[in-house]
Amino acid sequence: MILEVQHETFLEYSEPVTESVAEVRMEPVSDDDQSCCSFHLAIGPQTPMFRYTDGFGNRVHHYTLVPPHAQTRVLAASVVETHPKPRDLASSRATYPLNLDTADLEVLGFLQMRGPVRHTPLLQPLLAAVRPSNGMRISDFVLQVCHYINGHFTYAKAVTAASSPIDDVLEKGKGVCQDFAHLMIAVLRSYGIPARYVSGYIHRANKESQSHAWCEVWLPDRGWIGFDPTHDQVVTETFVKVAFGRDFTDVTPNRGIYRGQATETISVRVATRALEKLPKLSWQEQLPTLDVPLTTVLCNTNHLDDHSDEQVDRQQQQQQQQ
Amino acid sequence: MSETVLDAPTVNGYFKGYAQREAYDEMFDRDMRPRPHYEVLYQRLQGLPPEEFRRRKAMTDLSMLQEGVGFTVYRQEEGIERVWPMDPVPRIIPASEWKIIESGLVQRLTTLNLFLKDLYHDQFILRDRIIDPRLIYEGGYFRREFMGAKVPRDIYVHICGTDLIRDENGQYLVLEDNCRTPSGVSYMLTNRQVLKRVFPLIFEQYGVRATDDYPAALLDVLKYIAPRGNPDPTVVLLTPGIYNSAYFEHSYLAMRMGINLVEGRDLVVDQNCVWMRTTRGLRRVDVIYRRIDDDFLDPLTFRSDSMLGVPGLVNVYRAGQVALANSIGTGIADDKGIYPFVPDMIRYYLKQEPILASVETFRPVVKSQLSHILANLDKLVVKTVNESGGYGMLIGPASTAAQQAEFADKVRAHPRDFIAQPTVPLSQHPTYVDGQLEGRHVDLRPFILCGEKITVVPGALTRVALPRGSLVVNSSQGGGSKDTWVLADDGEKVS
Repeated sequence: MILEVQHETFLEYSEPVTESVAEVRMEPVSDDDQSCCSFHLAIGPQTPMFRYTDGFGNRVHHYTLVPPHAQTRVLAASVVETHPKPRDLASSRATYPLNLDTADLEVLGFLQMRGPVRHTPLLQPLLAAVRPSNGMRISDFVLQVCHYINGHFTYAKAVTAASSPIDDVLEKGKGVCQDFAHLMIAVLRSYGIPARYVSGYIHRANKESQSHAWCEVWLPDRGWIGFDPTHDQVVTETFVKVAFGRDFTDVTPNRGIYRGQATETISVRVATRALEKLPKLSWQEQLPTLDVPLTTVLCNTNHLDDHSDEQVDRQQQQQQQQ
Repeated sequence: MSETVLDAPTVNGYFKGYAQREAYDEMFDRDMRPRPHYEVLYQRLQGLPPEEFRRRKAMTDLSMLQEGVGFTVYRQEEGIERVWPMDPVPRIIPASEWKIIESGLVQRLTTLNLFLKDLYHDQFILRDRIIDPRLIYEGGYFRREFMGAKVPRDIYVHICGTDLIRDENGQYLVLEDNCRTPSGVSYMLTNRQVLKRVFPLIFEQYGVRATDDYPAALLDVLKYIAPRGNPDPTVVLLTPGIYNSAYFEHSYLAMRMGINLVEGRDLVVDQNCVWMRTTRGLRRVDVIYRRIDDDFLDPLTFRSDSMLGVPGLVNVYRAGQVALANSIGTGIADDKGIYPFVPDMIRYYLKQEPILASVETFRPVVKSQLSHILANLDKLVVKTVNESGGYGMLIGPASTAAQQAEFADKVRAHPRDFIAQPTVPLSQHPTYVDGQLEGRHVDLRPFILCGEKITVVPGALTRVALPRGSLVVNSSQGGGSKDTWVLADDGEKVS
């Protein structure tokens, strides 16, 4: 499937700010299951863009805007051909508990509870409800966890925050794709199964497109396989993968900080389109107009000047003495 | 614990009632004969009238106050600055002993830098299962996101402070490495200046190696790692600010090196470079000697609530447009949970046997060792792997049953976060206490620099536990310090 993705982000400030420093993870990956044929990133006001590959292999772009500015627009557009390999889950012979003594290093880094995927007593009932028996096939177990989370938690916006640990979704029973993915990762890691967080997009014909998050699970005889607890399914050709990490904090699509007293409002719109064939190389000059509405996703005051002297003093003291 | 008070005719004056327990004594052998390199000091001290000794001690205190040698004690309600108490009786290390220490430390830092380079790139040591990869990934100071990033000249730890102790037999043991932001070198330097004034004649009688060179040597290291081989780079020292307990040291070193002392807000990132705000506009910065923890260094990459860091700094570092000392993610090399593997690392990377021994260490993640730890909590020292400054410790012999039970629970719940070691009776050294000299426990922190080559300043910070019987030497826990004399020879023949 050939998909065109446009992801537009508006950052608006209540008054001009200076020294914005930001990095974005929006360039889709090229791997066995998809090919990023074209990627285009534009920032307004115009400023030089730099790029690096992070420790997971994700492509990161970063920029600074030092002079005063009251608005920033980030447009990421890509053409991705998805061609997921058939995943014969049914014949996977991996059983619980997994023996990881000889597993690849790349796998062992996705077993630890950290950041939002943290140990919490609230997780215990969920762990008890899905507890695998010895000898149970991992693939069955993963599908069961995916199904259970989908059935017992409600998809609802504005209940949890981008920085929410799994405690929030567990307590409220509601959350968004990010929370569902974190929850599934927490359950799998608790049972010694490597799981990682994926950010990307999902294309749904005739439905609103959106940024999406799901998780990938490692099966010794199948490698990493994507599962989407929000839709209770295995990942298909309608999923576009952008970045992966241990949890959301490793792959935040847009992360920034600025100087000034202003309040920041972030609005986003995403549009995906299935194409018949690959477009011309100059495709980014003729991108279709985005006619989907902007959604305000966040109001924050994550600026450097919003701190009291006492907070600064405390941090100065907080440094470890060696 | 038997106490033998030796009151031989030779041992009187200030040493009347001087007690040796099982610990090694730096000045005396078991028969209370001064060791050869202490002979002169011993005679001179004995010859001092009590009034004169008292005057010299007062001079020491006054000098420390005037030098402004302070440090800050955290976790206490009242005032912040406190004068770092210095004991006027110097600790002496003969040349032959120092040679072993020096070569052992060079071997160790060489290894730790190879380890960090390996860990953040190919991970051979994990692939070969010399260390269980899970230990690394569970380490709080391992920066997974920093993997694959190239650092200038492949050096991760440029400044290291390694703590050594001596066991009952006088053998030096490595207690821990400090590979993140080790402090204390300013005390080493000021202690020397003060002691030269307090005991000028005694000092002259010994061939003591100079330490004054340290700031210049440090600046050489910082310039060596400058981007693009710039021979005249702009170097700055980045401090958390005046409320940090080591602020005295930050300002002292910046002044001695003749570089700018800056806080995070003095720097700004633009065009993938770091700039310093000056009265004449922005000036490009090439090298940053940072004394801020990783977590607070860059709110864009690490803790977003940090007000001390420089947003975007890590990306500039990644791009090779600014150098940092020490590098990012070095904390995994001084993680106490990784410490027991350093001898294996030395064998793995250098194909050598460790020159300096380590303290026997039990790891609760190993089931058999966990039961040993739980059964011996009253004898062992239990440490939190990621704490420093003497916080988060249980000293078995000095603890209550309730404290032991509390640690048992913690160790069971989070085995990766703890290690346990036998209680080593740190060596003791004569220390001036109320007009007498009494034995007090000491450790030794030499400072190692890694630039074009690895050098160890011929000197060290000797920390002394001032309360009688205490084994905790940390400044934050009632410790003091001593000037440390590394001799050019073995000190046996003195003019």
